Amino acid sequence: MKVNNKYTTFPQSATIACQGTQGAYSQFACEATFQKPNIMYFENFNAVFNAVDKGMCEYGILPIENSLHGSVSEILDLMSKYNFYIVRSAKLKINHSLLANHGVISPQIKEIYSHEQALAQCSEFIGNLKNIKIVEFSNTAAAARMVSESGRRDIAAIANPRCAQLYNLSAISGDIQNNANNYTKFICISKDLQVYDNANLISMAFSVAHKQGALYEFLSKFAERGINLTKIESRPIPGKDFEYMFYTEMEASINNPEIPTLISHLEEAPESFKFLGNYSQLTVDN
Amino acid sequence: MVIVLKENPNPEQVKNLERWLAGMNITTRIIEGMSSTVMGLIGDTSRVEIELIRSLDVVESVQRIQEPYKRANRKFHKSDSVISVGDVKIGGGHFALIAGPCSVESREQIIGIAKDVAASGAQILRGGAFKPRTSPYAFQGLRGKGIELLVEAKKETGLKIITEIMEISQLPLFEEVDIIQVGARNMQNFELLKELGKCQKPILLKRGLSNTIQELLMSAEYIMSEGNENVILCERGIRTFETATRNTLDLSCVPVLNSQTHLPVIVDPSHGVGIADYVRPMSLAAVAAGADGLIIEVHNDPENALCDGLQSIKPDIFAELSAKINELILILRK
Repeated sequence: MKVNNKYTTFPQSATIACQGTQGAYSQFACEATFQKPNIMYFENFNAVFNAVDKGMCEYGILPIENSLHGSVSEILDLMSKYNFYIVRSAKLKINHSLLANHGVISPQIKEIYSHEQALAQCSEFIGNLKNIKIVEFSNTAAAARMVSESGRRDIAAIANPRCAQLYNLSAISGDIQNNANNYTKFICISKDLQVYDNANLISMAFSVAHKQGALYEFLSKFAERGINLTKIESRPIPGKDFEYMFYTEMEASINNPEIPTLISHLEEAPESFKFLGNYSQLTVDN
Repeated sequence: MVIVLKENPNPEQVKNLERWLAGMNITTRIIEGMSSTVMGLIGDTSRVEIELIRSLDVVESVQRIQEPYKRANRKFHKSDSVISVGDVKIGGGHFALIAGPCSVESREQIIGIAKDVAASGAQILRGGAFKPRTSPYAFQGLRGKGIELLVEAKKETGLKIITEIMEISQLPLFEEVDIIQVGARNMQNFELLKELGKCQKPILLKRGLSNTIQELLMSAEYIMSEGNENVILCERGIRTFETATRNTLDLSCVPVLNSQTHLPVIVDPSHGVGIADYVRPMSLAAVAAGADGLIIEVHNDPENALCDGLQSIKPDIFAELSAKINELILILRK
């Protein structure tokens, strides 16, 4: 574990890679994380990682988990593939609206476009509409842009209400998500391990042998030190027969001298272990 | 490399991409087309990962340009370039007729011929002041005095003027010259080309007598890379085993150039064949091949011309030819 801070404090401005286009939730998370971000938009998550890897962007902002629908598994897989680190996270309140071209009324809509997560988060609202075809799109804002550019009066997009002004659309219905407490957690990733002030969360990925008490034994190392585990989940390791990678987040800091020692031990252990970063999290009520 | 941007690209996103490329010493040029915006990349693009560029939200598609010429490449600039010489336009459907003697010999000669060719429909007057001759004992041109006489003829007739530069120190004398000609022998004088790239005057670049089409385009690239995009290409015959004509006029280069570059292409049938009788048919053939103009040697007294009298046609023949050219252009436009 080698901290390689590029700045003395977390930077206010940098070139950031986001998936989607203007008006994407990633943009709002990015603007909350950096005071003056210079955002470049990419068509998919892998491209965001690639842009950071190739040095086109310094950081990337990606959704990692939604409070209603769980982890974005693709991001977890890409984190292992690229060996990147989390330098900050932001919890963003998600408000969805149904957007259509000006003058369009609800009964005219035959198709709704949005990202699969947004569609799932608004399933109750959509369920109440009759004869609607649901079409998955790469991104909520990209769906809004497409509806606007098409000029069609029989389609709508589910996206953030700010996309209405951005793409010259009208909001037919607002706050259409199933649960008012809908948050998505975004992570800010970098190629190097950077740890800034007030970093109080640690993420790691690990696997343990298929033997009795292996997971318990691993986690007990943290419990013994009074560390609170805030998240644990598993993902199958591609190509292995039901072997799992565990992802955890815990309330800890590498400023506690016990932590770096423990991590060094774990890194040397035969099982796979990856320290994913030490960072702080902010909450944004969008 | 050429990057086709999505419709109405966000200017900030485009700027970000340009900034990143600038960091890799790659300069960019935005070409707004009728339906799409294209970004041309100039520099060493071998390190640019196509997949990364393609994954950007503002990007529609990416295409590598295999050819070594970029600014001159039609892939960079889909529509024909139109070069403006005052109110005379060359290229993109504007046909230019350039005529005059091989060299300026006297006031009387140049003004007389200028009046004749102007009356027959020429828009631009040619006349050599600095002459690159095979023999050092042959007439070398009136030099500075020759340019002064061309300028007089310009004032007298309203014709634009074109004359050849041989080395860069002569440039101050070309102030009132409308088009600077780079002769066949100087086509690969790269230092001269670079210097001419720093001015904004239209440059007529003649193909060297043993140069390929690609070499001609690379020479145009030299001028354009310095900032002067007003380049007109000229085919004037190449050296082959054939001795019946002075050179072999490579008219097949006209459609080839028209497909590979957006720059206007002019044909010089006089040097191409070197024999006055063949100038007329080859002029018409050049028009039919798609040339954007012709540069023809016209002399009032070819038998006693100080230079290249054999290939010069008389003003009355030029008048008849000019009319035929106009007829042919009308037929081709139908």
